[in-house]
Amino acid sequence: MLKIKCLVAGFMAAALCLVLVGTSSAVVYNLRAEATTVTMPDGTVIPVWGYALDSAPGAGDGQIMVPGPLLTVPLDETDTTLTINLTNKLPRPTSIDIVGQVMTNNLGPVWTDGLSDSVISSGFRPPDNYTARMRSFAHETSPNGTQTYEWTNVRPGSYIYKSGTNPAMQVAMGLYGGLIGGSRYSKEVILFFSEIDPVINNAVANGNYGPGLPVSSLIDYHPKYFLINGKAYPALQPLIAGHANQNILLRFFNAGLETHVPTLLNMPHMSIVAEDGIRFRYPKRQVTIELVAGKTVDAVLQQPHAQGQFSLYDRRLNLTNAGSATPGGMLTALQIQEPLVLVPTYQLLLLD
Amino acid sequence: MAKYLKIEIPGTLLAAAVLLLMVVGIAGNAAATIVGETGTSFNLVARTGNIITSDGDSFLMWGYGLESGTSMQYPGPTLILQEGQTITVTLKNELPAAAGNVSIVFPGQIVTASGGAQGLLTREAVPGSANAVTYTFVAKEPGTYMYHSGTRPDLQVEMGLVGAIIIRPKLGAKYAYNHANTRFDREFLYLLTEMDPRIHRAIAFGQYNLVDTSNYFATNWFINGRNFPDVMQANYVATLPNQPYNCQPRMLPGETVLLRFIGGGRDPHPMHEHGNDFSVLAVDGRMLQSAPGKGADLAWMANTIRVLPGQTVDVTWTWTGAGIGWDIYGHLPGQQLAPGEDPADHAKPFPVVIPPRDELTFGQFYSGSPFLGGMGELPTGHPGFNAYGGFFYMWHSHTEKELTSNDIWPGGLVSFMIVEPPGTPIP
Repeated sequence: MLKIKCLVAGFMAAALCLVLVGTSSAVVYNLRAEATTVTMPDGTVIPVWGYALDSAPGAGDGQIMVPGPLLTVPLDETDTTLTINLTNKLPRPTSIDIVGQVMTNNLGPVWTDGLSDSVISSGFRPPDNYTARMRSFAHETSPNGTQTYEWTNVRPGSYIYKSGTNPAMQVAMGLYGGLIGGSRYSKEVILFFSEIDPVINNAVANGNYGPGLPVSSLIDYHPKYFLINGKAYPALQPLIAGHANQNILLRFFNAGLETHVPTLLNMPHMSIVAEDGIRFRYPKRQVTIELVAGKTVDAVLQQPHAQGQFSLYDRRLNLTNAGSATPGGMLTALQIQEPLVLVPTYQLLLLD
Repeated sequence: MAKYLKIEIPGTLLAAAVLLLMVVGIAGNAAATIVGETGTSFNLVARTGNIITSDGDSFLMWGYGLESGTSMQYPGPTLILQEGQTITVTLKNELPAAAGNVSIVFPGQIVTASGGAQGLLTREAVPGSANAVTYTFVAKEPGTYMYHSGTRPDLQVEMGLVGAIIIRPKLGAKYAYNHANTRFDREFLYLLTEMDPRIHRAIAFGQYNLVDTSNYFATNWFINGRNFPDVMQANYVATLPNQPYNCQPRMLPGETVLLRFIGGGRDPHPMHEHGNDFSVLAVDGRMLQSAPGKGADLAWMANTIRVLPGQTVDVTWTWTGAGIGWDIYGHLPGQQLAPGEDPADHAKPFPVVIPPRDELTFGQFYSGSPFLGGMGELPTGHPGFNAYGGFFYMWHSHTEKELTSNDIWPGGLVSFMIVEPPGTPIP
């Protein structure tokens, strides 16, 4: 059920709309993990693993996406719990992990004997066993099974949910998405960075990934495709950001394995207000953002000086699709619309 | 002693020592300042040229040069601007036609572009010297910035199309920003770039199809377009015709120096300073302040600063010898303090009995004396790089492999701060 709240501050034109999912009950999402393919701008088809949002556990009616669907927990007075029912249509066990949020029903971690896939323990390292290896941060969902993951005290801010099982491989395959604790701001932009090394993905899909197989691990990870919101330029269209006299929130996520440096051209600076969902005491004013692997950064564009398209790109210059001479990679634009006639007087509530 | 050296040192090593002497020159005399172009109007041309690396190699580059000259330079001209002025930069394209269009973006500035052809990030100069593109912006906020190509930047920045911008505040030329606590005595530029030689080889042979910037792997690193030890040469030295800028910090005890770091390439570099901690004043041309008018009140101390690609960082550093535990001037009790001397260690004796000369190994920057301004006897064959008896502090990348030039050590991201004795003339 979708509910829209509007707070009016001074003028109707200044309405701050909060889009909330769910009402007084805990927020429940039914995610399905399944293999699919994505097509890059150069026509290359790459096998990936992604998430879909189903209407009920196992319903199978959602579309598999990379990154997965954006999840929100509104965090109003009665609603601080997130429940994810995960249905696994992958050939391997999987799970969910959210860095920065504490899972409250975690039955993991899951240990193998270190030599095979045999699970020998859940929840603790077997006593006196120094060769056991942890495979999963959380209890696993077996292929074709469904398990429940629960966080009863969700913290506000921007987070990444991802596979907690063999994450080195499963996250590289595409099992990641964004989570927002608290209200979404009506003028905000999601900028989700990730990479693909097709050698890894093809090896996994063809059964050639793992110990003793042609691709043993991610040791030779060399990404060739550089994605924002799952797409590489020119597939990624300009993102509607807001009006020129509004404060616009940019939520940066990085589920890739490399550091990226988002840079916004023809803008004086952004005000970085939070990292990893944790607010700064004072905003950092920077043209560049250090977006290391696994990180989230929230930055505010304070009342842009003009309308138009403003290029946003990775200053690490990952601006190619697999070495192509034509522009590609992590390049998009923010579309700033004409100024509103009445200047809003509100502040970003979720950041106060 | 001279006879001893002639017998023991093979000819090739002697030749190498002479070559090093030629390369380094007398480091202690190199100008310690930021040089560049001043004014409000700059006419640049993108051209091809070659640079020399400290391992003896040379590489084809694309770079910005002054239209009034005939060559390119690496990095492009440092543009030294005054806060509030309206700046015009024109660009013409004399690169080979296969290189395509070229352009300039100015991160952190609000730019209006005209002329040329519309490109992806800005308007571009098409090949042919008659067609210029014009960029205008107001140098609104003081600080350290950069400019670089906005046309296929993954290739063109690597090829050398990058440069520094300094906007001086209205408060004065000895201030980094419009606040009294950003005052400095001397300033130095650290524009950091790196190079994957395979790309330059492919371009030099016209094999553009072999360029794959997703395989990027740097093996050469530059401060202001030079490797160590070439960074310690003079500005505009004739032996490095397309690499005009040095990086030779020098200061007197008690002075405050401003280091303007710029991440011009595509990899981060952790720059580390020996001798003292520094204070991080600003990032991307913005003071670290809690509120307008507070100055850099959120500045923080460190000894290693990670310089991100696309980012600028301003730090200040000072040195008096405080805490060293002995009198660096070798004063005896009752003698006067030297200018800038920390009184706590005045007249404290040097804690080591210096062994006889024949039992010492002499580094090339050792003056022959442990005391600031002291000049001792040096063995025959010593290059004598320490002209005034200064203290040399290595300032370098802490990614230690970046202290090489294509696998030859020492090279890459290294320079030395020379703390000179009081009274030393520093140009």
